[in-house]
Amino acid sequence: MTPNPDGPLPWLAARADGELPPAVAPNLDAWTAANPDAAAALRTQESLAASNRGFWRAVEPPAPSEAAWASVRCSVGRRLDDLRLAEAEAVRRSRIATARLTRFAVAASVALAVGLGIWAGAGFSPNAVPALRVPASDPLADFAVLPMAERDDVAVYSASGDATDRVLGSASPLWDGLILATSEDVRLDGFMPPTAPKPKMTSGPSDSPMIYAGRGRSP
Amino acid sequence: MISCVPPPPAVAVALTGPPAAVAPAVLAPDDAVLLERAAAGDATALDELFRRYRTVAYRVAYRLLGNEADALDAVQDGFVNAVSHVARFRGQSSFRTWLLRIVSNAALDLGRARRRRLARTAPGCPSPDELTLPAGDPDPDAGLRRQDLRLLLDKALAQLPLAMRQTFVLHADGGLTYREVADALGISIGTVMSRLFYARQRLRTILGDQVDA
Repeated sequence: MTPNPDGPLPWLAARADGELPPAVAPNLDAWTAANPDAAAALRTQESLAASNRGFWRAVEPPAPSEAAWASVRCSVGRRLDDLRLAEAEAVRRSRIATARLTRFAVAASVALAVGLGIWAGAGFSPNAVPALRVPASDPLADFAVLPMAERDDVAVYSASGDATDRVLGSASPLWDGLILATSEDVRLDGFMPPTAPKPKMTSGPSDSPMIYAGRGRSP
Repeated sequence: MISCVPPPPAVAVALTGPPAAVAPAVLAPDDAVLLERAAAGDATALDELFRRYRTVAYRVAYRLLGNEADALDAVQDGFVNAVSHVARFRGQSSFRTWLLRIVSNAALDLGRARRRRLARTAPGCPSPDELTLPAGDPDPDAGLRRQDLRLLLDKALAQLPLAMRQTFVLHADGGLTYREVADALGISIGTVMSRLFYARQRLRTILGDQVDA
């Protein structure tokens, strides 16, 4: 406990009231026992405390009537009931507001989902882009394989075996038509990018050589 | 004050069973239990709390206000606030201490409102204080009757600073110990000692030898 800046008198008054903290009382008692002035001051405070109590008892406040008490009790109950009703109403309003907010959030979510669906369905899906970009007039769209090229369409720059003899001995190695040339036999320079797959040439159902298209159709 | 119809009197029921000696002793419910039940709407619990503490609450309020009607209003406000703010009662002090703090604060609030009301009294009109407190020195030949003495004390208390008056009334009329007053007001016990000591000194100066009588 901090020392009282007002001096020892408040401590003596507290001692007279029997209210001094137990940790302090022995020290104060020792001090008053050793100091006659302090002992006299303590006796004065004890006398004052007794007279104060007597005076206080003599001037009791006027007692309210039972009707007044009943009125106060009734008012307390009624005000508490009103407070409880107001609190319940506030809770009810809060729940209604929460339900409204939930419904609004659900409606907004549904609207957003539907909007996204329409947006995606209108052609903005990444998967739909290549299909839309295929030109409707693609001349090769209806062909699973390329038809065999005509003789004038094919330029032979190298040949092997019998074909070499024809290149060296006659004007055109295609005089009798290409026979079962493979992709190793035909090179299409300047037509496909180097990384593009090479056209496949094989025999057709009627022993006619066929050139299958590579993957990319645009130059 | 809210006008209310007084509740009907309790009906006594005669027990036809064995005498009360065989009935188990029923302990009075704890204040905290009654408070919880009253806050939940239990009128019987509120009745019991009110019966236990209405008088001491009224004494404190009356000493702070010097007026019966205002004191009853402060008691009403104190009980309503105590029960409706039950969550703030953490049981660190007794319900009595907690209630008296609330009632005394309500009384001080009412006193401030009353002073504002008095300040608005039109010039030339008697103020309510003039109607309820003695206008001047009492007649020495007639002596002081009890009521006059009470009014004199009320007037003397009204001259104390608010904090000192609240501290003094909580101890002298509320019956709170120094420690309980310190807890109720959130001050140190040394401050309680100091306020009480100087409150008594001032009252003694104001009341003269009435205290010693």
